[in-house]
Amino acid sequence: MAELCIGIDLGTTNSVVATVQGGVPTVIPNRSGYRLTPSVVALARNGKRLVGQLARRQAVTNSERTVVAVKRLMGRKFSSKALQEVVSRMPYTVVHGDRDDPRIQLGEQSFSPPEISAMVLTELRLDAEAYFGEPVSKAVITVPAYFNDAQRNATKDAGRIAGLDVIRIINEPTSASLAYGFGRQAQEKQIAVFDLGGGTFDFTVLHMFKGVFEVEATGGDTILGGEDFDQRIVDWLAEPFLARHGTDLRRDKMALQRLRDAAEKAKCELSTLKQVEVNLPFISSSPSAGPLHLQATLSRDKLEEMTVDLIQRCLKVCEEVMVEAKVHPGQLGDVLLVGGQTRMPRIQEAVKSLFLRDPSKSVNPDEAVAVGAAIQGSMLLNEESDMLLLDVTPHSLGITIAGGFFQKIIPKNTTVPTSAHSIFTTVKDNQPSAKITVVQGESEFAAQNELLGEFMLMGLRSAPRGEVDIDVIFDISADGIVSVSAIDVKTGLRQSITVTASSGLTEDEIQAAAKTNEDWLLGQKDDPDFQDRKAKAEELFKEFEVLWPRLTKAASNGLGQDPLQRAQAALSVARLQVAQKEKEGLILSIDRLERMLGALKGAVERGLGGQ
Amino acid sequence: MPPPPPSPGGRFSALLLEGLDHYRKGKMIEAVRAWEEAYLLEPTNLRAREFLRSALERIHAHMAPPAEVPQAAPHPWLPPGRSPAPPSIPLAAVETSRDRTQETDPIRTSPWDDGPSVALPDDEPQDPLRENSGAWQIHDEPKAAPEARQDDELAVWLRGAHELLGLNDFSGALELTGKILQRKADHPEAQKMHDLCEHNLTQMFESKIGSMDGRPRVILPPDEIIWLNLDPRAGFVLAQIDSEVSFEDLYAICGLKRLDTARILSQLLDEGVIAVEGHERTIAKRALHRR
Repeated sequence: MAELCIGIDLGTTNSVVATVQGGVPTVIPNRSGYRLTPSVVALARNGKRLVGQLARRQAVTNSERTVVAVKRLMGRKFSSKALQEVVSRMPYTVVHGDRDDPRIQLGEQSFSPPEISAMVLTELRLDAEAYFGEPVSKAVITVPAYFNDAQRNATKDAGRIAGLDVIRIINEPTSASLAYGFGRQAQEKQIAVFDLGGGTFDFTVLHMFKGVFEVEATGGDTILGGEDFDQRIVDWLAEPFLARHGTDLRRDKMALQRLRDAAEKAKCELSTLKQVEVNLPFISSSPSAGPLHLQATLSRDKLEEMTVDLIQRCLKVCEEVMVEAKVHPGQLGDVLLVGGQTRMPRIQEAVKSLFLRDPSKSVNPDEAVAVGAAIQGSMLLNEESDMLLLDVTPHSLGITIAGGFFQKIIPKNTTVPTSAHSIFTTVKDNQPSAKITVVQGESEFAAQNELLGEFMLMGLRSAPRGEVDIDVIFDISADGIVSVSAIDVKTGLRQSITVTASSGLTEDEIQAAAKTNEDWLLGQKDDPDFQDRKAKAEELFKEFEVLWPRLTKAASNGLGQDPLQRAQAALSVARLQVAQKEKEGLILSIDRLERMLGALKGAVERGLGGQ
Repeated sequence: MPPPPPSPGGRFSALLLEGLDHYRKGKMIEAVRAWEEAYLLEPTNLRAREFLRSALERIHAHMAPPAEVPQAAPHPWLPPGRSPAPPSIPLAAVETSRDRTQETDPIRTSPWDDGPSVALPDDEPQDPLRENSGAWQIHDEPKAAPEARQDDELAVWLRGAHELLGLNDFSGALELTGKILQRKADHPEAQKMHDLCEHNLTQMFESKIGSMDGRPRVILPPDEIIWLNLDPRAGFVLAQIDSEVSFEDLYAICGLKRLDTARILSQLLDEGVIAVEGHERTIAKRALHRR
């Protein structure tokens, strides 16, 4: 049997898993039958770990123990400005880890972002295994084009913790264009990917030639997505209610959860309908008026009117990115729509008017990225080298040189895998060592770029400044993992690092987390002993149910009520034990019920119950 | 499975509980009916008599016209001119305070005054338990009181809770212990009773719900749902029910205390608003509480 591989779009708001079967890309529905799984993890108040739809449904009422948008924390340092900005908007608690990594507090435990992400990936893996009926281990996972090395490594670590062998990390726009069938043709083409997801907007201009996908420019708005459109509807529903009843539903967690669910539903329906009804009975109550209901009719025109500025923000980003890519809208071969929010007719019209062409929307926008990842996985497994997708480095890589400047060694958009080197020299007489600081970014000032790692090349030979040549070599694997070596050219002295620990987890921690995850999975599986006992108990419940009319008659014919009351109490206890999976207690209950049933049947047969 | 009819003793307890339930909901007529029946079953039982008197006093207090208008004739069982008894009085039934009441109460013409009735000293009219008699008082926020009097109150509430627990009235005992814990969060006995009541009530409701794997669905049409008498929390729980989420998952996603979720689900099942596949009620007792 062919080896199985899945493609995963690990999104900020929702995730999708797909595969290629018999050459046909297929989205794998989750075990609840949905094709999208919310990227939400929660520790419910009853201690249960929730992932996906259930976690999302309690995200407002249990916000402090629900992790949303963990993707925004992946591979970030706790002290970084970017992370602090993200954390300030999150309802859950993020604390400082031992290595300046963020740790998410969930109840008594704290988790790294890759561990939380792994919970989502585990859910997707289980969905895939349920779909195939056999274990799945290989996966291709997508990441945004702007993700740096640390963020990619963190994503890969999340896959490992989830028990997946991540055979490739690829860029989301690249993946989407694969799903649309691009990249296989020999002709050169420039396309744009307009990706408006639940929480982020990304716009990317890609140049494709013979399987090489070059990200010419990418940009976006990390706090603009479908949820902002939902929020406008929530406000539109809540404000008249506030004016009429003096109650702000947005301050009541339960009401807000219902408002958000209803807003998203209405928004989705308005992509096909002209108007929808929103009915939320018993959303609140007042001492004078009693229960309060919310009923409203929302039209597509109204939705477009109240989100016009959000659409404008998207278009502004597109214009900026096209300027950076030095491309005119008319030059683009195609514009691909990705992300569920692009189903909104007004967005499609706006894209059409900006790019002067109909956007491509033949692939389900929610699923395009995952489908592309599945196609890439299939190519890798089948070693279709002629169609092998080649990715590029998203940022320039180099080292810090004297004066705090950044010296690029590998420019951005270089096809990976790749290798490059550059010769540097000492800046002081008899300099005994050289510090190699590996940096990623586009700024000429090293401090404004991302630090990936640093190491010392010790034991340099004594010589006047400028006379010791140091060859710095960068290697980037197909997964984007960076290795850097520095060699004293004359003596051959060598030092190197591999930038792999930047996800915030050590190898031991990853392995420990993976084991914990597997143990948790084993614990979730139903105990066969319990299932047997449950079946036996349910058999007894049925027997009692059949016998009960005769027992009732027997009670009035001399048996009395007492045995019936005791039987009913025993049945209640046993039902509860079944519900709460109390295996040990259920053994005793079954024994008791069997004895009672025997005695009561005997009483009925002796004529107490009549016939 | 049909519930078996209770034994005479069980019938008496059931009537007391039924009356208490009505009393707490402010349904005094129904409470009187239940307690009258209980009293007739066991005329010597002091509890039935005291409960009955509380309800009658409550009715009398509500029916009383303004002072200048002649008083309406009281119920034949009600002692004339007595101030309405606080709800916890019959529940606490403190024997030691009886004599004192008899001494201080000049109007004692009814034979009911021979029984235990008053739990609290009469010289503290502002006592929260004694103001505005009636079961509604139980739901009020406890008011600040001097420490010594607070301790007295806590003792009375605790005795009341014990009595209710003895009658298997876990809801009533839970309310009283909840009040005690509001006043004194580290009260170990109250906490223990509170936990026990919560556990027992949860078990009672969950035994009605059945298997936690069951996936309920809403069977009442939306235009009828609006006529139910639900509070926003029940409305929230109802909104989560979609025939795909199991009871166990509902507990997790509703975020309420397990007891509260169980109570709401049990109520929704009882009223025929929701049903579980294979366990649908033949008669939906819907619109019982139309507005």
